[in-house]
Parts: sequence; structure tokens; C-alpha cells
Amino acid sequence: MNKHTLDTMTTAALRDLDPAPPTVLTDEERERADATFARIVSTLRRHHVPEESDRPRRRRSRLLVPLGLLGAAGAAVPALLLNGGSAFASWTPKPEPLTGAAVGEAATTCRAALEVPDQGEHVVVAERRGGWTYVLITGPKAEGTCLMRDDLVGHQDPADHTKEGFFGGYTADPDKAPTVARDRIVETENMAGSVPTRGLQIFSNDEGWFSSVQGYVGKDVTGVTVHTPVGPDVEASVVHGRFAAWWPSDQPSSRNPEVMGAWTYTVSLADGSTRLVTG
Amino acid sequence: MDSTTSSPQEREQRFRQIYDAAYVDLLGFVRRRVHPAHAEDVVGDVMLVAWRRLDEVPAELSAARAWLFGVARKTLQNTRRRDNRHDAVAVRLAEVRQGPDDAGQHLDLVAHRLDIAAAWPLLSAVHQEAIALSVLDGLTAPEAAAVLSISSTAFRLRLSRARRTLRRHVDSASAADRRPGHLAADGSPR
Repeated sequence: MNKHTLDTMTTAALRDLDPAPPTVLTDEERERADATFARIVSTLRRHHVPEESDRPRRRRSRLLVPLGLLGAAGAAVPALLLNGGSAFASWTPKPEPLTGAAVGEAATTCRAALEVPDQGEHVVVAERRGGWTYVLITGPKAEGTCLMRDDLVGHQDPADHTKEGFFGGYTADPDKAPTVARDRIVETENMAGSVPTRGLQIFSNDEGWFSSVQGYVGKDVTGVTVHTPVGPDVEASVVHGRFAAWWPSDQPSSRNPEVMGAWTYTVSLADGSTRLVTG
Repeated sequence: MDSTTSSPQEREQRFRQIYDAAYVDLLGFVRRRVHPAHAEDVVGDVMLVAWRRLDEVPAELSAARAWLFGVARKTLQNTRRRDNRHDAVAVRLAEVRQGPDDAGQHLDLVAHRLDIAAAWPLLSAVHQEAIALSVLDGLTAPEAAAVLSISSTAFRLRLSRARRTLRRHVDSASAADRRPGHLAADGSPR
């Protein structure tokens, strides 16, 4: 049998063995498809908030732990998560800034986990929410973020971070800081992601889902609060002209599209006033 | 079809077009890779991403379909254990059933189908994926390459290797079939 004949026969045989041959939907499948369509469209229509036309394009990072939906919009905090039913049960909407040696230790751990060579990056944000530490390091040649369980801080063997309880990523070509009006913010990154949490909680899923945002603040901005679509308000860390926040989420899916709804921000200004913005 | 939309009505209309045009193909793509009981949920998740990122969905339908397949593949990768999330997504074939339908078919094709079914599990997931994208999912090389986030050249090379490997397994099976005392239509694993 020559090669061409074999390839023709192989193609025919493979198509005979296709577990999903071309077909049309049954009435039941069509009904379910229509219901899914309606659920997606109607729910997001209710939550839709137009994005500003000059909103910076979301950036992608090289992620050690892949994101469920890169660039996906914000997420809600189901009651279950806030009631202690997940690895993020200790999470707090108000961050606790790290101080002193803890800042450097968190940054060093993050850099080691990401295997980013030291190119003079400095720590922008280092905070703790419950039992989780978040750190943002930046420099002209790299910018990275890490979310890690507190007990992983101090472990500098990258292998330690291939287990549960760590999320991180970095980009080797960070964008330049955008121009920000004095009383505004510019959100430069948002994502929904997950942290493997196997063994952390009995009866819990093995993925801890969360959403995070970060960006730049204007000179007059002293505080930033994130209004998540259906969850609680989250106080962002605001330091060195940057802001960052993360919160427990649910896995975005068509069954709960509300977690992908848009969010808004309230910025607090130096004169004591506040302003509602979309970032 | 404009690739960017402004009004909510236009946006919903465009999503409806994509949804209706690609739903069945996307369902087939997913069913080849996961248990059929989960397929519709995965398709829903993929369509949700498409709705959220509608402006990123290519305007041309064939390219939009490939875009959706790419999202589906990432979705399937992300539902796995973390350690193999970057791996290829294996593709299953239907079980071989010999029955009355085979009666009118050429014996060579019937036997070849059995050999393919036996050889398929011997392929790596990478090779299964390359062949399936081309033969079962009906994508062009550039479209399949986009699904895998590799270049067209790299895909063609991968597909060529996959076909060669499959052919080698089938040849081995055929040679075994020709051995005295071996049933030509024996579907047992080799």
C-alpha cells in the first residue's frame, strides 16, 4: 500500500472513529444552548459598565501558575469563601502593609520563585491579607507579582513554589508608567487566577480562585477602594504611585457569569474628597 | 462583520452570530477531548470568554472558530492538575464496533480502522492533537497553529511527524496481522 493511499485511508478511518462526528443539535441540546446564551448575555448586560476608551491594553505576564482566564474581568466573593470555606478564609479586605525586613524577605522569595535575575528591581507593594502575602516588584527590565501563602515566604528554592499555595508571574518588558491625572487612577492589569491549594482545607476545592488588579494613581490620590461586582469592597494598597488589590473569587464560568462583571473604584483624594471612577 | 462593536445591541447581535455559527463545531471539538457529560459546560465557559472579549474575536468566521478552539484548549488545560497544564490535550477516538455497517465497506478499510484505533493510544498527546486538529476539527494549518499558539511552519512539521509516527504504528500492526495465526481483524491492543 503506497503512502498516499495509506494517508487517504487513514483520514477516512479517523473520520469513521470521530467520537463527535458532524451533526445537528437535538431539541434538548438546542434548548440548553439557548439558555446558556441568554444567561451569559443577560447577566453581563446588567453588570456592564463601559470601559473608558483610553483604557490601557491589558498586559500579559509569563505565569508560573497559569491563569484560568487571562485578562478576564473581576470576580465576586461568594459567601462560602468569606465564611471560611476556602483556603482564602483568612483573607481581609483591608491590607496589612509589610514593614522592615519582611518586605525584603517577601521580595527575595518572589524573585527566587520566579527565577528572575536581580536587575535592580525594587519593591513597590508588599502587603498581607490574612495568611497570604502579596508582593509587586518592578524595574526597567522586569516586573513581577507574587501571591503566596505566608509559610512559603523565606523559601528561596524555586522547587518550593511548584507546590501548593503560590501564584506568580513576571514580564521582561514592563510598560512605562502612564500619564495619570492628579485625581485619577489608571488600571494597567487585571486578572482572574487560581492557586493550587490541595491539602490546605478539608472538603475544599484544590484551586483557590482570586482576582487581582493593579495600576497607577495620580498625585492627589491617597486611597483606592475596589467595588467588586457582587462581593465586598476591597481596600487597595496605595504606595509609590501604584495601587494593587486582590480578593478571593469564584472560578469564572458560564454558570456564574456575574463573577466576570465589571467593577468600579472609589478614589480618595488628599483634600478629603472622593471620586467614583472605572479605572 | 465588524471586529469591534459599540452599542450593546450590536455587541449582542455579533455575539449571537458567532454563537450560532460556531456552537456545534465547538461542542464537537470539546467532545473529542473530554467526557461528553462535561462538554456543554466547557462550551458555555468558552462562550463566556468570547462575550467578555468580543472585540478580540476575529471577524472572519473560520478564524473566529479557531479562536474559540484555542480558548477551549486553554480552558481544558486549566482544569487539569497544575503540573501538566502546559501539556497537549489528548484526543480520544470512538470505540471500534464491528457490525452490519461494515458489511458494505472494503475489508482493507475495516482492517485499517482497527489498526488506527489500536495505534492511536500509542501516539503522544502532542501528535494526537496535531492530527485531530487537521483531520477531525477541520482546521487549516494556520488555524491549527493559532489554536496551539505556534507558527504554521511548526504545526506543519508537527503534523508531518505525527502522521509519520501513526503510519509507523499502523505498519507494525499490519505486519503483525500478516503473521501466521494472527487474525487480520483482531482489535486487541498491540
